Amino acid sequence: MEDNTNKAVLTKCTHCKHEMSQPLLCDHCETLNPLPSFMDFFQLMGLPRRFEIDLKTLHEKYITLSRHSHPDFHAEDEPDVMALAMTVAAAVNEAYRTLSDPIRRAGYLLELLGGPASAQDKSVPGGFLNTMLMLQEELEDARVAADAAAKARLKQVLLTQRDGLLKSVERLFADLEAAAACEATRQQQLHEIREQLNAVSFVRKSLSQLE
Amino acid sequence: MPYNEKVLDHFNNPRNMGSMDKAARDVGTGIVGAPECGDVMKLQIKVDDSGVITEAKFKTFGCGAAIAASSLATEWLKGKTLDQAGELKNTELAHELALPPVKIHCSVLAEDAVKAAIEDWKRKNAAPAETALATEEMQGKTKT
Amino acid sequence: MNAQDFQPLPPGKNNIILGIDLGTTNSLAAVMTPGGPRILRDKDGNGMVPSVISFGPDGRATIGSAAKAHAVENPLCTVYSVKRLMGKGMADLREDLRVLPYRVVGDDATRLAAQTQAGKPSTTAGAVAAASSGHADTTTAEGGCATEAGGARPTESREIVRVDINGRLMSPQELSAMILTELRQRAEAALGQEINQAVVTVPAYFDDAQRQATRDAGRIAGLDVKRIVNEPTAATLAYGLDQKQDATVAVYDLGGGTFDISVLRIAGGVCQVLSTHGDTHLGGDDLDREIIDLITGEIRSRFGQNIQFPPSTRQALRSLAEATKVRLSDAEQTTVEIDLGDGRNFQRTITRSEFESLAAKWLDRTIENSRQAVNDAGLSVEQIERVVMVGGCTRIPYVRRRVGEYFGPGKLYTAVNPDEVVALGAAVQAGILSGMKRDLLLLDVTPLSLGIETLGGAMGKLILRNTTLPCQAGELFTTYVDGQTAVDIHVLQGERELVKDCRSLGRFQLRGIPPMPAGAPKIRVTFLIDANGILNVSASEERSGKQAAIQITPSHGLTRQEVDGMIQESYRSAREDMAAHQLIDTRNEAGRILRAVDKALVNAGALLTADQRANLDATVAKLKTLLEGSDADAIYEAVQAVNTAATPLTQAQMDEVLRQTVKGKKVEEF
Repeated sequence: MEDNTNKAVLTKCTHCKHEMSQPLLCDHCETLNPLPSFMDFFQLMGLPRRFEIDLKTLHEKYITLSRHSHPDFHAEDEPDVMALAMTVAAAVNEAYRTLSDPIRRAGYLLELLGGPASAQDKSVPGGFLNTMLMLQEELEDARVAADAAAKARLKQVLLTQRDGLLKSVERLFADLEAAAACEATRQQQLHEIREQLNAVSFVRKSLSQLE
Repeated sequence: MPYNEKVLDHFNNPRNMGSMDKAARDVGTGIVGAPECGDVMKLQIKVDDSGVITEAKFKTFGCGAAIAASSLATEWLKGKTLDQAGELKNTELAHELALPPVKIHCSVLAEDAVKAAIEDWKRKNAAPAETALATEEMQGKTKT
Repeated sequence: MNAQDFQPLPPGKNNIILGIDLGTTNSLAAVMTPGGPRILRDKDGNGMVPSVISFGPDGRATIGSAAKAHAVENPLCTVYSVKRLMGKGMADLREDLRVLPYRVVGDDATRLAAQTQAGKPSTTAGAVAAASSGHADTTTAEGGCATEAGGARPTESREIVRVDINGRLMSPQELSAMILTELRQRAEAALGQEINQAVVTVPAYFDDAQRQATRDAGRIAGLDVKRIVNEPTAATLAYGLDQKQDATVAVYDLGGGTFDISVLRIAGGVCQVLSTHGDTHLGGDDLDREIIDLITGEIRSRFGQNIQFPPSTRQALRSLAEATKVRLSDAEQTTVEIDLGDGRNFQRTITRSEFESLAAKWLDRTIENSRQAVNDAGLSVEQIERVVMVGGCTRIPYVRRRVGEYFGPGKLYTAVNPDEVVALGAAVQAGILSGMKRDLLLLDVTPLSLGIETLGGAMGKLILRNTTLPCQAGELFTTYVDGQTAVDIHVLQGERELVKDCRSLGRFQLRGIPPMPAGAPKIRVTFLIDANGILNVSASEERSGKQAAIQITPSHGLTRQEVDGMIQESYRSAREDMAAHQLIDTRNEAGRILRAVDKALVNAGALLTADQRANLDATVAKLKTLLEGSDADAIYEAVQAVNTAATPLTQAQMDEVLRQTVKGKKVEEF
């Protein structure tokens, strides 16, 4: 399994040409650099391309990158540097938003690994839709009867379901990352992750309707 | 008005909303879902001895267009043979409801639900030899 | 407070960025100093400038407390709460126009003004405002400006509102600019230097159009608005400076016209907004209105349903309601007394609990918004450690009680001055931008989802609400017919599914697309919301890499040309004002010198030679002739000429004084 830490992606400062130890702010001349187009969110944050992530480290890196790129700190610079700061900061925010949420992180990582999008593969685990249908019916009954206790109970059921699905996703990614499998197995694993993530979409929709 | 009156009509006065006994031999049940928008659709058909759909019911949790599409489908199915039902195209539903492009997938879901219901009935009502064949076929498929 | 109190900035950085709280009811300015943010006050120690503009019959504007004093006697020409009009169209203002005594008109301004002027002279506030709004009750306006039955919004045309003062039409941006100019001038006087940069605060729930309008107002006032900051966030900056520990806080900001609730996390020099919610149509003004409606309702039931409340009376009622509201914060009850004339006297004791019943539904809404914000932040209400109270209304005991009930006991933080904290925060932000305070990182969010109209009238969301700023989203567009060279995009903000229920920002037209078969061009449009919460759109055709030219038609705002025009206009009127001032000053000087010369001639004229006398008489005559005209420069020169010619006289006068003094007699001073 390749090591995807940021050590592999050193860039040269566009201004002074020195090598930069991390993206964005040059150690040598402190110029704000644009993001290389090939950099993915994990590389930007200087984190290994894995599902499991240390949220605390992620947050710290996010703050550091924000301090380098946020337009507030470039308010006195040239207009083109200010414009660059805007797009770079937007990318940094997007990276953090994606990686800090497990569901978004899973979808993003799946895409990076060449897995199917939900539009291409709509499948869900066997019997899942049946379960969702029953839950939805119970929810509707609870709503009509204004039964707060029932709603709370169902919310708990959905939350448990969501957590369970995420645990599966975590496990599936770990399996994927562990063994160097043949292509057929790999495709199957990616497909299974997609199945779990599709199921999560349904659960999330139901949860949002409960608010 | 972005939603056609027909869609609103089906939304406000849905036809054939409800459930039939899933275990009954003459009932075929199809359950499908669209992950992107979280719509879940259940469509059931009751088929008589001559292979004609006598009753159809639906239960849909989703947007107005999804409810309308499945409602319209159940209306359309009544009195049709299974073969005719299998020919129902989502484009006909979309056209009848004047669905905007963003909601076309709701009609696709309805078509999938109809096909799933037909398949379920066929599986339950196939001749013994055919059942074995059908079961093998099912195992190879990805479930929807 | 004078210039010496502010330590000078590092050499080479002479620009002060002013922090401004442009409020619905009151405005304030502050600056950042190494010792912390400081409110700029006048010589009486007042920091607050009432956001009121009063126009005299000569069109001259008065701003602030003096204008507020005019409100009762001059209701049609006194503009207040102009913030409520910013970035809005006539259809949005239906409720407000019911009660605003000054005239507000829509796009069909000329036509409507002609109609209402031709109609009966309006003596009731209701009729004036209703005619302006094309309200359904009125019989004069037919169709008129943009209010339509069924709530459908005219997305084709642009909706701008203007205030009509004696036939002079002014946009809310120009009016707000007058308040900003006042603040700027006061600041320049206090600091002894020119100021042309500012940070201006807005309610967090302000949409794109409202933010742009605020920025435009700044430009018209000669201020480069370096940043638009959300009011609750600004308050947190000021609060955070005092508190050294990390915390999860909510900011409950109930102002004169708007309500905001924001949930933030402060940790390690980072101020991060987690979520924000609010209502740009809910504030102290509404509580006042409840009291007014109570009083007018009872007056009518007691003295007759056809009692009219002309604009000046409504203004008086407004002041009375505001005073009542304030009184009831300290007292359990208060009595209002109104003399209706003709021996009719209205007296009513209003209790605190009555007021609380009236206020309840408004407070309910704020608590509902708060619940939403806490939810969107992914937190439970127990996890909120502190609730910072901002805005004058948070002094009301009922408000504090309701907030305490929802968030839990012991969390309310009321130590900050609720009127000043936002301006102080704006100054802190100014400090960050100017480099004075680099250790503080502020991460704010966009309050509303952003999307585009898709076929079928649906709103397709591209950026969700509460996304950290700056943020961007891209979308691929293509053409529908062969050879199409332009593409229309309708951009909206809001949470609903249908276009008609969302807020139209504007139409972007992408031009200069190379003619190709339908569906062939791939135009990548990037929607970027900057740190101000304002949308920036850029587009390029993917194949050619060509940047598409974008034409923007804002739905509720001014075009760039219009703003430029208004800036020119404000320079011109400033010059006119200055010239007018100059003329007045020069005239005064001339009058003074003529009087002095007259007096001196009485005392010592006899001591002049014939030549000296003739010379002096000639210059005096010339000056008197010029005073009949208005050439300030010429008058000034003539004054100098008289001064010179009068030198021998003054000399002689002084000698005479000396002589007389020596004699022990007092002589009048020159």
